[in-house]
Amino acid sequence: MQPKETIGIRRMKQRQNDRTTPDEDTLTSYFQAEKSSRPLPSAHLLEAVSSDAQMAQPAARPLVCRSGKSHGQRHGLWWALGGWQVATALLFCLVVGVSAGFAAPDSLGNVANLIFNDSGFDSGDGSYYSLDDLVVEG
Amino acid sequence: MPFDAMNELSDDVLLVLYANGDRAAAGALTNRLTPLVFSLAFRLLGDQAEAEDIAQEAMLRLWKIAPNWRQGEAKVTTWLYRIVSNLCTDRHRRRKGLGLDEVAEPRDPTPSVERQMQDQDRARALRSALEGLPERQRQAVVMRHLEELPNPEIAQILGVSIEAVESLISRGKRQLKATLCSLKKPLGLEE
Repeated sequence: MQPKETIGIRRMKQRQNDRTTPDEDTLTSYFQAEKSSRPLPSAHLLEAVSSDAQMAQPAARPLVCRSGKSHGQRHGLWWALGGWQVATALLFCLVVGVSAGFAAPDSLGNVANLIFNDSGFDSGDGSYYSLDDLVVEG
Repeated sequence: MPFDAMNELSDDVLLVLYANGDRAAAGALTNRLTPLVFSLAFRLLGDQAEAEDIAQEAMLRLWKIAPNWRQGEAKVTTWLYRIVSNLCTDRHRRRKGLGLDEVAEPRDPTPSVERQMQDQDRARALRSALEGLPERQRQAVVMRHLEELPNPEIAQILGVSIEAVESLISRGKRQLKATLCSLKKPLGLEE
């Protein structure tokens, strides 16, 4: 019994027929004739396309200028030092330092007494605990 | 960037440079792609003026899409061929089929006058026969056998499977053979 011809086999035979028939050579010669005269665009077309390209072209993107020497150096130094955040912190410290330097020593003593007395700490004779108390209790 | 160095760059890269305002990239793309686009349009339409219109329109669309071009998604040429084939389909819908005498004369720089005339006749006959093919078959045959594109790329351009492209080409060639067979003797192809 002869096997049934599948679609795949039929297609393969068709392709083989397409390749081997004399008409294939004829067709190839027609294609060769057409390919030998490859159409080229006229100068007018190239000019028109080029003109369209320039009209439709987006403007060049602005580049960040880092070439100016003095500007670049100052800019670099500023950011190397930490920028505005560090400058703010430095300014704050400066203000605190200067104000502390100008303050009178008496007022500083008052502040210290106020703090340490309120917290119950006494380094003088009026200590809450004697050394004996600590030894006994310890 | 110097113009010569542009020849080394891919279409994708040139398009990005163009979108960034590089004038030399525009020139390089124009010189590289316009001949390809025009050639396909001319072979699909058989008319110089119409092919020039189509080529200019396709290139204009490329310039416009350049800022939004997504690199690596598709080949620039594949995208352009697709635009050209769609524009040619629109043109074909608007006009009736041309007769043999109305098909544009091909330009042929071969030295022998006799051979030149024979080739011109063959080319003219082929164009006329191509005009008689259904739109998709004509596009597939032209892309495969005249523009020499690979089947997978033709499939992408036409938006069909590779098997469908093979089928279109096979059917198109069969009809071309039948049409051109009758012209074998007058064109010097008969033994």
